[in-house]
Amino acid sequence: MGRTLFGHGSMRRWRRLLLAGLGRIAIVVILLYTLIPILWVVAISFRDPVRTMTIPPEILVRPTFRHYQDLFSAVWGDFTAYYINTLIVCGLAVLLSLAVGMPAAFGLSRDMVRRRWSTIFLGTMTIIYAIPPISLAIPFYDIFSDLGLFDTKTALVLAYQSRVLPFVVWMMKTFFDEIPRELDDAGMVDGLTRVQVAWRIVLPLCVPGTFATAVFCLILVWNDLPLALVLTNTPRAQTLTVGIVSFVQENVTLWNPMSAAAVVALVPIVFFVLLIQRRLVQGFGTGLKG
Amino acid sequence: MAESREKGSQRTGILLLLPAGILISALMIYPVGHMVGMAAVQDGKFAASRWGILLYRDGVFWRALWNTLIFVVTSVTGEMIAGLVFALLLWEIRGPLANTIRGLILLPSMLSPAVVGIVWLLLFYPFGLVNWGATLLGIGRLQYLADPRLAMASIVFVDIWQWTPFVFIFILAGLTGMPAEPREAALVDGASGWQLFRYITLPLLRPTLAVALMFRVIDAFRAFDKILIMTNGGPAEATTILSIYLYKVSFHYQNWSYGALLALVLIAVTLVFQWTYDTFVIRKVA
Amino acid sequence: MRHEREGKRPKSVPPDVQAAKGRMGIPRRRFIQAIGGAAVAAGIGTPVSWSTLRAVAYAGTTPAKELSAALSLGPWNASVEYLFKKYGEATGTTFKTTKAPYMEHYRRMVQAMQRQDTSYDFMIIDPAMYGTIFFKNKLVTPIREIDPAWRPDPNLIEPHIKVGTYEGIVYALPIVGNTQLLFYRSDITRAAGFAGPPKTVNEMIEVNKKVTDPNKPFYGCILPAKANYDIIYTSLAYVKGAGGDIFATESGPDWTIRFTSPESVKGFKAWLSLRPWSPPDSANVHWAELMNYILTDRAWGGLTVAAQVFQIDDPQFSKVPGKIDVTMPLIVDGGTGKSAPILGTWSMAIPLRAPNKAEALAFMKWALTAERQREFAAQGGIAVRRDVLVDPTLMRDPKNRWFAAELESSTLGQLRPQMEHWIEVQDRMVPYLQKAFTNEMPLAAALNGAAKEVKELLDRYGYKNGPYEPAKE
Repeated sequence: MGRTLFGHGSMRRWRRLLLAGLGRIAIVVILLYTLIPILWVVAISFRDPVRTMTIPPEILVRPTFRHYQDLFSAVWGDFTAYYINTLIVCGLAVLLSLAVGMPAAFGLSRDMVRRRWSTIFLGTMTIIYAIPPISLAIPFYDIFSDLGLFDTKTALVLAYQSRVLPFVVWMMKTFFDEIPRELDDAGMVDGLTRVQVAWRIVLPLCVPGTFATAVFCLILVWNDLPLALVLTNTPRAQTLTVGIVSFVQENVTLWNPMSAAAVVALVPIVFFVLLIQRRLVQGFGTGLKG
Repeated sequence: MAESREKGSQRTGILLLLPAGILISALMIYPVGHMVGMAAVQDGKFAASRWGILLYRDGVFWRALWNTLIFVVTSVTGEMIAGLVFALLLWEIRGPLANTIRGLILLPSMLSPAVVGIVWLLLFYPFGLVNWGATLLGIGRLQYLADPRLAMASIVFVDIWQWTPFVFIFILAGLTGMPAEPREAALVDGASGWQLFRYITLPLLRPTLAVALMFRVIDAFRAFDKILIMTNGGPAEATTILSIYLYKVSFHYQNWSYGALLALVLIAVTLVFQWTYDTFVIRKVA
Repeated sequence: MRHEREGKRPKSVPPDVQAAKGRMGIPRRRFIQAIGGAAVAAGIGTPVSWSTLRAVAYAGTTPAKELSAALSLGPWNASVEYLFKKYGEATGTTFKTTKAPYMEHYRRMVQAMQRQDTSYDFMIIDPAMYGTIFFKNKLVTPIREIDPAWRPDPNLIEPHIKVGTYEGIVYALPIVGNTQLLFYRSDITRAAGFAGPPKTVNEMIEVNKKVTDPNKPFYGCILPAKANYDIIYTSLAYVKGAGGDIFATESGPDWTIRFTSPESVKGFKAWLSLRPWSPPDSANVHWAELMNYILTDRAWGGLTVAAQVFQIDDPQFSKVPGKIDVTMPLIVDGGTGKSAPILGTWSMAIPLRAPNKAEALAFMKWALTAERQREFAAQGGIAVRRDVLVDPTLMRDPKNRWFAAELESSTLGQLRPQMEHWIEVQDRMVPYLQKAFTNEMPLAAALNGAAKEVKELLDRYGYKNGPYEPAKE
């Protein structure tokens, strides 16, 4: 470890071993630092409130599955509906942003519009990304209420574009920039139009990058709170995150069912990311070559 | 021939950008315009000048601005350094567990900020895990969120905990995508570990660092849920950052006009800061 | 402050209400049940009013109605929704409830009312904190506008109704009688040699000295001081108990600052005198944390709200079931000689454009009858009727041992200033009070600093106020 990064010319053997050992310890420390809070959340989702706040923490407590059972038997609100809503809304939001953002990114990358417009476009994207979501929530509330779209999944899908579209455009433009123009020209010499070049030549080379961007966007909207809270009212459109914070109530916070809800919300994402973790890194890697 | 292709590509270009353009205008420019309108006009009168004066005199605003800058600088710096360290440590490990380990490190960034706030609120309780660990280490019990001196440090710590993995994966990707030749050439020339890192690796990482930094800075200015849940801006406004203050002005005091102005100020500060950080820090370092 | 909107607003009735209105009539058996149930409900103890008769008539002649209710998230929702269910069984009316966190609920209701939204028939709000914005701007319908013959039942505890009254007009009827109570460990108090709970601040200090053990650690009386208004809610009980107040009048017209007067300063001092025995993280302690300290056997007690009562005997939450008791907030020595609990009542109000006002009011009246309140209390709800809180059957259950304190506390219940900008005033005061609490600033300096900012606010918003007396040490 550290051989290629730090070079091996000038190091003696024992020093190298020492560094390797320290590195391993560092990794363990990092893992603990990262995972202990999360493991704690999982642990308290299997406990009762009275056993949650004790020191020393009681490690061996008989687990209870009550909180999970309660979640899905709608004791605390319709979590099944929340789950379905979140899947639908986030999936559609990401797909929409890709469908709309990728063409735009390609057009910007290939300088297919005048400099002035592309600067304005990118600048607007940055500004929009910089707006705090709570500030956008109120105009959205007004607009969607007027359109009769308050408390609908459609409203959320549209509102979420403000969070993911700039991200998609920026990232995809970076990836497209990495594909040399020569390939484009070669394609066009062969008689393809620009769009066909994009579809058949450039895009397939950017699949890992697209994938990575899509996953990041999914995580962004899966965990959003301000927009979902303000724009939804009932299980018709409420998402998992709204369900999770509903446990923070007046006079009491129900930590344990809330942890269960948080775990339930986290599981698909974790599963997904662990599965494609390598692709993720590769994806960004191809796009961000120095 | 080239001329008409130019024109054709212009037209295609506009078509390609059009859907995004429509979406942006409808969904974002209108709300933003709405916000600017709200900031400028209140109760039918032109209010921008009144707010300007109020802003100047508003002690809470300046304190919030200061707190925001401290928060952003410390948490983003912390995240970038920690992310870099994590990436360097975990980049080359091999073995069956390597991928799983790298995946597990990503977990904090995959939680909702609201959930992170709630979890750490629980952990920072006087009878929570953190104090237990502190007593084991002999540090004694501290009031992480109730002590005005510690509160800001605590929320910065939580922010770093949550977002380091985000930076980590960017840098990891950058390291993976780095060409090997420059490094090997330098090694042949007898470069030491540190020289290799400073003069070859870091410059090659610069685009990666710049992108990660841009996203992190903008996000840090918008940090909100975590802090609201953990301290509600207290104690004694020690952790009131601009986003919290504008939330209170809009939602609690029902003063939408001033709140909209504060939001616009926040956006302006974000963009200025991000440009400055990028130009003067990243370009110098790498 | 009103969120002005440019352009016209199309009227829109949410599809759900539409669908509900189109539902079919009730089968015969339910029809008879509905009539019977409604008649029984109307007949027991309540003066039969025109609206109740109308509700009965409605139940029999029109399709089942659906009322749309907006609630905030609170532990009393279970008992409130129980009432919804019972009313549905009695009259066939169903309820569509939506819930939101406290501040979001407030924002939503204000904006919905300002937009003249017709989607809610009634809402449950916290009038003491933010009621005035609804009452002053007539965003909700006065009760007498819907039913001119309505009079409050003498059994309803007066302060609870006062909280929903503005300038003599009743806008909101109480449903959850949340008030300030001192929760404490009766077993520890007895073991320390005291006959009963402390009544005054000095007595509390005596108890604190005996029961607190910094090594365990076991703390005394907790003072919650988190930056979300708890610090004001708690200290105000002491300030009022000493004869002070925030402003010269509770609902105007004179808004001269009074929290720097000698009486108020005495009250704040009494509050701060209990600080040494409060846990070190009190500046971030909210009701939830306060109860947690008590329930996990780490503190003697603290001043919080009646709504916390559901946790004290439940083994899921409490390590000390049966050992926690409830009493009145402390009396300030040398003050008014009376306890001054601050009310936190939750009340039902009907929006200006509610489509089913009469039905909503009918439900509200039904919910406030003795029989229903008795059931409500049996379910763990906090009753607002005197006769229910002294009901012998209910009193026999040790689970309800807090009724007596609740009754006394409600009867002495105090209001908070009825001003539209109360939340903003509190935000100005909270940092200073916190600084005084954590010893960053001496009390007088903190109060004067707060007063300066509050005066600036009063002047900016046009509240009539005169010069105030600065606080002295």
